[in-house]
Amino acid sequence: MADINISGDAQVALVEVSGRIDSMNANQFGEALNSAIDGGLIHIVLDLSSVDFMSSAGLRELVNAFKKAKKASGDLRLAQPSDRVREVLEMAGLDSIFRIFESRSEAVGSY
Amino acid sequence: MSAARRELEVAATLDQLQHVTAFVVNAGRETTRLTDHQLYHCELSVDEIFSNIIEHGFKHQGASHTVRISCQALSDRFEIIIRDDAPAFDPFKQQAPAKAFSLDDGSVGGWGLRFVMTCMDSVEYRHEDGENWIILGKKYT
Repeated sequence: MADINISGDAQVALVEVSGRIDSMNANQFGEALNSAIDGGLIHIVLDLSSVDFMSSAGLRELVNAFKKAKKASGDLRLAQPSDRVREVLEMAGLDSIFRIFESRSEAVGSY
Repeated sequence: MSAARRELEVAATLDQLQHVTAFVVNAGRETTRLTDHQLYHCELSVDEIFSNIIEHGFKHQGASHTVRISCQALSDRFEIIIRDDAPAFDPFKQQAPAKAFSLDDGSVGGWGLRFVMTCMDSVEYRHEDGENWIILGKKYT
């Protein structure tokens, strides 16, 4: 099961996720992101360094939230994805869609 | 010589997913020399296939059906067989989405099948005795 923690403010929200995002709990991940965006947190840094499993269901939620943030004139940027997350991003061809940063501070500072 | 085949039968419901993936990873870890990364590829592929069966094969109405998973360490590969009695459906005949993704795409997804075909060394579909058989292979090297 994944743990999701959201902090920060309207300027930049930091979403830290740890654990598994699989086909069973991906909707929980998507709901957390969507609810943050609906609450006005449209500039998001998503720290995926502690995510050790992500299926295509997790990627779908990630892309839907990304599109939603963009539509609200915001963005969703990724910080230090684990090797396993990076691998699925690459397999899906999404590594060129997201802005990916090697550290959380770089990602926050990019806004 | 091959190790004994291990089998698991679960209800065709998504809440069985982690039970299924843990079964496959443990079988691979205990009976093969696959690396953690190779086992992760097996786990990801089984997640995608099992959830696809529940979502599309049984349309989330599979509580009275079962899915059977079996694993065996063969001489050159770890073999995973997933069987269900949903309507006949060959997932590998479906069109995978283009690699280039555009934000303008109306819907997102379709990556699961690509993951399976990328992560596993062999994939095969059969329809036999009223059952869908998905046979996945991961080589040891």
